[in-house]
Amino acid sequence: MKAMLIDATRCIGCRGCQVSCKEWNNLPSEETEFFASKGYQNPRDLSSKTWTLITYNEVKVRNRFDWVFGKLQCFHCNEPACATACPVHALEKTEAGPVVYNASICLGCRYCQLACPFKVPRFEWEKALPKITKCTMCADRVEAGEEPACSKACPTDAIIFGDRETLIVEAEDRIRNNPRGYVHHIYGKNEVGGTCVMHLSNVPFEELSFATDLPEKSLTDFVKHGMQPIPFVLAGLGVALGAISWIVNRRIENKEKLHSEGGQQ
Amino acid sequence: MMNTDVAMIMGSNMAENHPIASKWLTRAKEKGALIISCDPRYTRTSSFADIYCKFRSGTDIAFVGGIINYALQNNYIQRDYVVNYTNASFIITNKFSFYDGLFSGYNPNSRAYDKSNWVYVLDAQGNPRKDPTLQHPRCVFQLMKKHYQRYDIDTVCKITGAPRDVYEKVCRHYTSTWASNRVGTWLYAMGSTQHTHGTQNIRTYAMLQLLLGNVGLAGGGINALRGESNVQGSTDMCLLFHILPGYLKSPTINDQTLAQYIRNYTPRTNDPKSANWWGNYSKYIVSLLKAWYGDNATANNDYGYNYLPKRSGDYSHISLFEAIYSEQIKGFIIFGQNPAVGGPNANKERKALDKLDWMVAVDLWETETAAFWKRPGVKPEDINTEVFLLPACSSIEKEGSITNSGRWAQWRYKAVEPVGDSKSDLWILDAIYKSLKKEYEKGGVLPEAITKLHWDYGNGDEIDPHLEPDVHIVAKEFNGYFMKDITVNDRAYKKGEQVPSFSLLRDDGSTCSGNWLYCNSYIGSEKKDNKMARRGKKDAVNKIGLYPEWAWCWPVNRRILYNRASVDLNGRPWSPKRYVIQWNNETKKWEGDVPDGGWAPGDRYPFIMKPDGHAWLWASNLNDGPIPEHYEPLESPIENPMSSQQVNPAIKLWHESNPEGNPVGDSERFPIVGTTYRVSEHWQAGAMTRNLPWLAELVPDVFAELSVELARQKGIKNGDRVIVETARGKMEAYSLVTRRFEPFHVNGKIIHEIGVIWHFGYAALVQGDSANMLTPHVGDANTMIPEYKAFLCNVYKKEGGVA
Amino acid sequence: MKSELTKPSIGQTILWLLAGFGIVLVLYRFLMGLGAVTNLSDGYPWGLWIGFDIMAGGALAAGGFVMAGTVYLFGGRKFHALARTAILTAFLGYLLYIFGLCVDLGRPWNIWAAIFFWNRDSPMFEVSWCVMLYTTVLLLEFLPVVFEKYRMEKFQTYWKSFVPWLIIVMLGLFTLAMTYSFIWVFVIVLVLLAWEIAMRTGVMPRDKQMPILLIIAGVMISTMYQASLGSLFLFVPHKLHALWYTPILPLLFLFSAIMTAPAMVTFETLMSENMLKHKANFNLLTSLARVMPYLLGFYLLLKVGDLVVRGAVIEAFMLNGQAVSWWMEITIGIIVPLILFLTPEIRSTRRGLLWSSILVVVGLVWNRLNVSVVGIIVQEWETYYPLWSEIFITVGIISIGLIIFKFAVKNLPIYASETTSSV
Ligand SMILES: Nc1nc2c(c(=O)[nH]1)N[C@H]1C(S)=C(S)[C@@H](COP(=O)(O)OP(=O)(O)OC[C@H]3O[C@@H](n4cnc5c(=O)[nH]c(N)nc54)[C@H](O)[C@@H]3O)O[C@H]1N2
Ligand SMILES: Nc1nc2c(c(=O)[nH]1)N[C@H]1C(S)=C(S)[C@@H](COP(=O)(O)OP(=O)(O)OC[C@H]3O[C@@H](n4cnc5c(=O)[nH]c(N)nc54)[C@H](O)[C@@H]3O)O[C@H]1N2
Ligand code: SF4
Ligand code: SF4
Ligand code: SF4
Ligand code: SF4
Ligand code: SF4
Ligand SMILES: [Mo]
Repeated sequence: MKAMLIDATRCIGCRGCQVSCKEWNNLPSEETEFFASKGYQNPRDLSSKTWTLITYNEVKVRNRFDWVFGKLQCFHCNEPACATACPVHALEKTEAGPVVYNASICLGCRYCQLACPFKVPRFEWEKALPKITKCTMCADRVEAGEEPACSKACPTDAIIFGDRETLIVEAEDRIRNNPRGYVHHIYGKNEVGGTCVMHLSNVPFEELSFATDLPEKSLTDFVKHGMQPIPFVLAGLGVALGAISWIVNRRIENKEKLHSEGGQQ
Repeated sequence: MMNTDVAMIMGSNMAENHPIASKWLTRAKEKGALIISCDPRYTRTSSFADIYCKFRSGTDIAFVGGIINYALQNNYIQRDYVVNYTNASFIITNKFSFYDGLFSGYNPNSRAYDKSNWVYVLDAQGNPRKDPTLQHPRCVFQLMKKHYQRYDIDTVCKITGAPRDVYEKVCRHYTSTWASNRVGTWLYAMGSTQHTHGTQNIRTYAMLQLLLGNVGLAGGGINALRGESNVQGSTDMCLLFHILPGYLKSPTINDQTLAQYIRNYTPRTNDPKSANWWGNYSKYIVSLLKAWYGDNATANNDYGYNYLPKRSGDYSHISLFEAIYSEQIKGFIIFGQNPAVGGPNANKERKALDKLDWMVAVDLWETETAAFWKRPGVKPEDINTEVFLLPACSSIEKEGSITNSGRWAQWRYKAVEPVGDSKSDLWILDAIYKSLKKEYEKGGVLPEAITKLHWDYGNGDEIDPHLEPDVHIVAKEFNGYFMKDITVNDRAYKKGEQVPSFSLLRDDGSTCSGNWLYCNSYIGSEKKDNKMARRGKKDAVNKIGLYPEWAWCWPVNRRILYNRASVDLNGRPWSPKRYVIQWNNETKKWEGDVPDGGWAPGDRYPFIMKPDGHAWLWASNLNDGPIPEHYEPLESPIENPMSSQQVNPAIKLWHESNPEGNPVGDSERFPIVGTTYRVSEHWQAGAMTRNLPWLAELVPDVFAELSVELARQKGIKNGDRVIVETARGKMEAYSLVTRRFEPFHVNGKIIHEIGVIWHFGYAALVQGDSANMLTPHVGDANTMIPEYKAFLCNVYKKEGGVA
Repeated sequence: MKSELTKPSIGQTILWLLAGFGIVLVLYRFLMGLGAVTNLSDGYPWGLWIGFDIMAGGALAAGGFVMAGTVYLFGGRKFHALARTAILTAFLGYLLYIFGLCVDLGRPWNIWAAIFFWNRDSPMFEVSWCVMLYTTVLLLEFLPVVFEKYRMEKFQTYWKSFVPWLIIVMLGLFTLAMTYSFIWVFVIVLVLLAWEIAMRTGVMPRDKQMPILLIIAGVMISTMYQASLGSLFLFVPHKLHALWYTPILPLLFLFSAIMTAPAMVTFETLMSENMLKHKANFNLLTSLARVMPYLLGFYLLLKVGDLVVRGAVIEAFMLNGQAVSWWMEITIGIIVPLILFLTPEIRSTRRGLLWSSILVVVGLVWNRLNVSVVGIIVQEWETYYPLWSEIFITVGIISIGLIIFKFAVKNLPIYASETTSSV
């Protein structure tokens, strides 16, 4: 399974990735004014026009000031909540790794938006024929044997692309070889069941405004709890309703019979 | 870069302005290199570095002078290197002295030095006298030691505002590269150069690098991270007024004949061990003249030397604009430049344009300069300049070479057809020439200068909008070819054949070369002979990333200059694991890079471009002193703690000679240090990026960065509209309140600094005020580069009035 | 009739205006996109429409299956009179609800896809199937009224013999879609078949008017459906406030829907009484009201117990909007009506009943809005409150509902059986 590893310690916040993403995916620019968020960040958030975004975080770790850059984009979860949530499989995890979208069957219910733990899918609110949009891991490029546009553009190899297993080994190596330079955690290795976009950082991940309260098991598991009993409930209801109705009606009939009999008496 | 142990980034914001170069530092980091960033503010480069040290703008010499002192005091120098390869051991004339910020020989009226006070003492053979023990009190080494003793850590921190503990750490780590097997590299750009003492800033870096033995080695050197993508190529080709192609000097009124000219610029040496490469000067200038005037250049007419204009002074940017302002220049052709935004004291420069009779702007866009006559605040009907805007093709719409900071000339191909009616610069120049020729054929002043030019680039004599000149003919001419059949070293060369290497260039008119440095780049008539187009991915034997088969590098594909300094006198590399060259005792040959001359080890001094063959710790040819001394910028918040010379004594003071429009501010009214810089997201004066929605979206407006403390003091919140004001003008910007700027403790005072990006102007998709409304007309004593990086200003919230 | 057309009452005029305005806004929405008429954003992809129309509306329509179940399965024959109103309102409710859904869906033209592309893991898939099936069931339940009105006895007979088989097929398919398992399909079909055969052979009693399987299907699907609305939110442990996020959310949704059913029926009945100047059987309503305290009490216990078990009680005492909204929900929707329903003086008056029921209904709407909007927490700078046009579209849809409802009760024999039986 293909994946991306993003190392914040190598990122220089140049936003080459952000722009090349727009270029490859033909996304329009957004109207902005000054900086929409901390530091140089612009636009404010991911959107249907911005599938990846560099965040600028002024942090103080171990008494040393630092400016650390995070990259937001779809995580291409191993068990994507969005795909599980989608009633029609308009979003789907592919064998190769990317989670891809098929507009031709999407209902636009936006449940995927609600379900995604990373707030990734975005909706084209301003369009009459709207779509759900998000980073595709450049599935078209990946299919053609190329790496994604953003990792290709990255001047410092802060983003690398490859097999997930290999990247995990690489990430572990980096931490092992420079234990003081990293937080000892590969974000995305286990979060919500593991993701295909993983991050390394020298500051705690909450400083990069990454969700750090996510469970290790897939969100899909939570839902499966709710969905598993369905057949039991169906069958149970069938039997129980039948039984109750039978008993109740029996009693009523008996009562009525008694009544009428009594009346006759 | 990737071979380095310690990388010092000072004077550049490399990650933001040279992001691709950062890739190689990533590689170095992977191998365990330490990265140091010194900058007045915490930048994206600093975030990438292991150590960050802040210091006040304009104090590089003090900062690095302190490191030099630290190295000298602790003997952290690579002694063999210093003794053998630099002029540390050279004895200096006793006319030299230094007192209170002034070197001997200063004339306050002309604000210039008599440099003969700084020269070497010569021995009977006419060679410099040396003391290899470095003990002689007048040897360069001892003079330096004495000079920099004054730059102790306390003094340095007092001047620069650098935190002492961090500064000490920087000194310790950087000087650790004195060990012969450790290498440090120094990366700089405009943070260092754009000062009234810019040249001396770089000199300090270079001196430290020489003391530590870091020049000529893989992972060493002092690396100018050059600016515009082809600025190296255009400088090689004489972008600047004082040079001809190949760094030959442009003739002055003192060089009336070719013989005089050659005599004045050909250095001489009596030392047989000195290669003195510039001794070949005559071959290069004659070949150049042959390239220009072809068969019209003969021994009889000094090869057309007389057709060349002779300059009488300084034609650098500020001087030019002062001359336009005072109506000495009436017409102006501007190719790919936007001084209405990028020029210092832009308000004055915009007003200067108003005074022109005509202007031709050749650009991809209608820039602020092209649109100066309709800028805010002026009425187009009041301006009488006739303006022509010629649309030019962008780099991807045409073929040609581009030369990067590492001197690699790479051939590039046309990727897309030109937009609209736009034409390549070559076509435009060709057309201008052809029209000029027609005019001059009718007569004029010195018409031969134009009419006798050898001009044939394969598209006929007439201007044809559909026929591009052939860039390959241009490239072949730069390389040069034989003008007649000759035989050299038993090898016969035919007329018209390409010259294979500049060692074959001659001063008898039998060769031509448009730029001797590019001789060897295009060695045959076929396109396959264009070495710049090579794309071989094989590395050299030393595996340090030279990739000799990728493109072509001047001179003669030598990838690292002065590489003979990377080995000891026996040809053994100082740092064998990343050797640049090494002497093979069996084959009696060098291995690795193309050596700086094939002589056996120790046969020649390594710094072959210097007449004495040694690297110059001591440089008696500079206008403002043989060794760097700290002066304050033209506008500074404090009095110079080092001497009573407040500013560089050798700079031209425009506010005195041309006071109109050139006021200078004082620290009373303008107590804050101001600086200007770039961001990754925009390019220069902005035409090329502010017109692109994807980039405009990222940085849509001009902003001023200031510290939390200053913001609190001024009642400014992040995102407020603020006014930044200097003696010359004011601009409006968004405030970006950040911890990345911190106040400095300077000489007992708290000094604040703010920074503004200078990419904005009144044309293009997104607009904003230009930072150059603030900057002064004042330049470096040697290069005239404007002092964009340090001035005095004030800042206040827009509604509030002056705080 | 004629005079009514020429001289409509003020209330009616307003209704028509609101409905018309709503339609115009809906057209505008389809031309300009959702962004033009809503304050929805990527942070709050679901707002008033989902919260009110779908979550709450769906729950309110629960009156249909609860009453149908009570009447036909659990021997609540005396409530027979209320069943038709409940079914009509439910049917109407669902039609409007589907209409609202189409307005809210970004790509409603793809709604067919839900029939062919199955994702059994998705609560949304379950929801969409339940909506489709339950609407079909309601239509089938509602048809007799039409048959009756137009005296189509033949159709009625066809309908009666055909419906059970249709139901078996539908539920079989539903089971397949939810489980991808033929074994389960077999089980379910077997149970239903057994029941139908038992009824046909007289082992089990059968209703003369109503095919029981239809009622069963209604109850089963609705149960699934109410629960699945809750399941929707199982996906958002990271976004939904701890006051509401609980693994038993489906159960809470189901139970609160059931609990609201009698209140809703009471409310509808009393309202239509006013509207149609027709007297309802008040005794029925008071006997319904007697169940209410048990339901409310149990629900309260469930909710608070869940909080305690999850250790989230302190969340209710935090000083934030969510806590306040939670208290409002609990107070208005549970505690106050609980007290009211326990007070005989109130329970026995029309007004008392009406207002107590309204509180329960409001409480449910509040709860659904809390879960789907108020409790959802995203970036601190992102907030959601409905845009006026969202409100007007909702109001417009309700107005259309009221207009149709009025038209229906006027023209269809909704209360016919009641009148006949009471005469
Ligand atoms: N994205 C992008 N890249 C570019 C350009 C661009 O416009 N945009 N321009 C290109 C060109 S032409 C050039 S010349 C280069 C310039 O490249 P750089 O020199 O890196 O450019 P600047 O941002 O002007 O200045 C660098 C740093 O100098 C710091 N500085 C300020 N004052 C001082 C001082 O007194 N001493 C020292 N040591 N540092 C100081 C500033 O804080 C700033 O971070 O970039 C090239 N690359
Ligand atoms: N305050 C302040 N001012 C500065 C600096 C600073 O640090 N601070 N830095 C200075 C520095 S280092 C520099 S290099 C200058 C740069 O100043 P300029 O050179 O004036 O700036 P650019 O925006 O690069 O201008 C280049 C123009 O060339 C056009 N162009 C691009 N390609 C072609 C082409 O192929 N043909 C033609 N004909 N035109 C083309 C572009 O559209 C653009 O308008 O600014 C200087 N100004
Ligand atoms: S990050 Fe969100 S959108 Fe991306 S795959 Fe995971 S759940 Fe889906
Ligand atoms: S909006 Fe489309 S992609 Fe997202 S869950 Fe709904 S149908 Fe699936
Ligand atoms: S992988 Fe492709 S789509 Fe995703 S952020 Fe990178 S460039 Fe954009
Ligand atoms: S391209 Fe690479 S270095 Fe630049 S912002 Fe993106 S991840 Fe960071
Ligand atoms: S802009 Fe061009 S020259 Fe500058 S770093 Fe990027 S690729 Fe290199
Ligand atoms: Mo530059």
